[in-house]
Amino acid sequence: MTAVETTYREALREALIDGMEADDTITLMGEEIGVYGGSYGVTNGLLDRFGAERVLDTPISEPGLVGTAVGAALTGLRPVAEIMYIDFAGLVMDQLANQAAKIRYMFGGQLGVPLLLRTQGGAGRSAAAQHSQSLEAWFAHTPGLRVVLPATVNDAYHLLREALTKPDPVIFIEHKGLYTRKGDLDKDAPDGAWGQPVRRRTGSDLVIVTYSRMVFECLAAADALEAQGISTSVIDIRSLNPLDMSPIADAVRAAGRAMVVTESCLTAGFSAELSARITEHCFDWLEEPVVRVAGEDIPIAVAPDLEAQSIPTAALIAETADWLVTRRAPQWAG
Amino acid sequence: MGRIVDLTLPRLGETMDAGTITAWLKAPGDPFKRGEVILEVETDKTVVEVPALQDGILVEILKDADSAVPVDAPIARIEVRADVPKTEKVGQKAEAPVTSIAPPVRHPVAPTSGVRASPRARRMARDGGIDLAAVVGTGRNGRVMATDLAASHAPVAQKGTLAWHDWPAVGAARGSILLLHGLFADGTSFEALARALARVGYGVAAPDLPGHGGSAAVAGGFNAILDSVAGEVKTGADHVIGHSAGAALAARLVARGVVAAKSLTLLAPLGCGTQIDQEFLAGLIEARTPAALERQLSKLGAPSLSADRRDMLLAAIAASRADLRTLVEDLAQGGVQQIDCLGDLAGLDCPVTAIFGGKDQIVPHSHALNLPANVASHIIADAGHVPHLTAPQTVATIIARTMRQA
Repeated sequence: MTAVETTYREALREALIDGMEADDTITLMGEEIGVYGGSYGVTNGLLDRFGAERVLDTPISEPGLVGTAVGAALTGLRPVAEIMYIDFAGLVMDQLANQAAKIRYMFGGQLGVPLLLRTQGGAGRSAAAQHSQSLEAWFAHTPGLRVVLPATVNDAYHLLREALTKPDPVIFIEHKGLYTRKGDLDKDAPDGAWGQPVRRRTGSDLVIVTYSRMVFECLAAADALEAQGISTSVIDIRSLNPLDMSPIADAVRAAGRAMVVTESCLTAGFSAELSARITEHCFDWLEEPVVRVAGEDIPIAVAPDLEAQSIPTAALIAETADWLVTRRAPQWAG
Repeated sequence: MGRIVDLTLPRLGETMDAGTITAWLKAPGDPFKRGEVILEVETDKTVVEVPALQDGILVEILKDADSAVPVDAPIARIEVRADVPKTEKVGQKAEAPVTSIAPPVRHPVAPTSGVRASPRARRMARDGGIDLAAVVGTGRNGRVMATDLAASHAPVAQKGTLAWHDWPAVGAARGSILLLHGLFADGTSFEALARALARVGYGVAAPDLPGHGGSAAVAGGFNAILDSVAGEVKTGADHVIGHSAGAALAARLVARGVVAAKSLTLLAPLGCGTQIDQEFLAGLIEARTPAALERQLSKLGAPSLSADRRDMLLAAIAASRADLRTLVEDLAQGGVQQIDCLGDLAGLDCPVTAIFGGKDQIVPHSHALNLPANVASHIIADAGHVPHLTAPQTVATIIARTMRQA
């Protein structure tokens, strides 16, 4: 099949449709996903297509709907639970971290929880402090949960299709700033294998490791850096768990400089995990310490100007990369 | 058995400052095993059993049951094996250890303390046997970066009629080196060697000989090439190194005084005996396909060329085939070398070193036996016809030694 241009939202919708047609145990449940079509429109039309038995509008109770999904997964269904905003994750952490993630282990491998939890996070739509966070580190810190974050349209489709075949819980984190983004979808050609980072751009001076919407900020920064004579690789890890470090290590060893970019805030974020792993794998190849560019350690502001500066921008990424390669301080640092 | 040491009250909890001995479970004279409980201690939170940390004998109880004791105070004397490390404080009457454990031998480490260097540069220095203290760092605060170790290769510069490759000295220059390549090669074949020499302080220059690399061919064979190089080395060089046919060229340039060299090094040189693989020379000149080229190049016993470089070489040969034929006729015919530089070498009073590959299929290493007595020769057993590609570090070391003799 050749690639067709579509949106991230539409690619997700098609993945759900193709997945549900291939596997009739797949059942969607969530708030406003049926009649309303999903708060970001991903499940639009699925109620009509698959009926109310497979597309369930649940009451407004995240613990209830995720708990139900865990039970459904244990008893033979493959539920896709949708949490409207990742910011509500705190409500369902017991169901996920203590139940879903541990059941295979606690019951000696006799049964697993093939649950897919779809949710979305990130800033960029003035959704304010309680609806704009990037909380993937909460899940990545729990062994037993797979955590994937598609950036491209093609990954939105393929990672979702693949997640719908996994034997254990997958936390599938979309970005609210990407739903309308266009890109090519080729249903026969995934960007890469499950758990494999993908190099979105190849360069020789510096490797930027990132994921989700920051992939595009980093690519824009790399374009700007190219104009200054700095050649940058951008690696999209796509999945926090599983994560194969070897392609990252190979790239960093060749370039000698690495930067990690995440939208989630700096302290104790996945950027720290990536930075540590890169240092452990590549210490003897590094010219400089691994640098992190991450969200500010603050609640995300609602005012668009402040919100934009709460998370890394292409300009900040490019300035930091330039400093890392040339050790010239950016203008604002005097 | 060994030495007698104090047993002190251990700290059994983070907040414990003192404890009360509630019971001794061993009497003086009782032996105990590591892990066996010796006494019970009550803290402000709980009663804890105190196990032995090593085998031994309880010699004397210093604090009886019901005594309140601060942490780390001696509560008993125990006899333990003499050779175990001191885990208890040694009392005044303790005997000297019967046996002692030799302190770990400290191997001398490279004198890099105080040198600022990136981890990458440190690894390269370690692998390459480079003393970081001798390298000039260009990073912030004089930090040595990887690029400081791998001396930069300046772009090819056209001086006169020849294309030149330059590797500027890293740090203060100690001298200049002229490198002359062999048939079918070009100045870039010296990359690894040139970098190794540049980073120990030599400015290195290598021309592409006429009809090779970026230099146009000249008619007139060996002597014409000699003249064209002689015409461009007016500034001279402190040391001259040549490979194969370039070695014969180097010997002649130095013997004629065109270059007033302080030392001369010959790598798998031509002109030191009669034997040569004529098929190799003819096979390369007449090669029209990559496969034909590769068949001959494989005899070099060196890493194979990339497809790009192979195509470039094919094109270069095609462009100057007639001139190359003339040149080769000057050098060898019917498997017999036509050029002789033994006479050139015998007359030199600077240090001269020849390096042969023990597995050279083009020019046999036995030619080393023909060399005049003033030439030192080295045979690198595993190297083929291009020792500076197979063993760049060894070759650089031998060259450095030759240059130091100057």
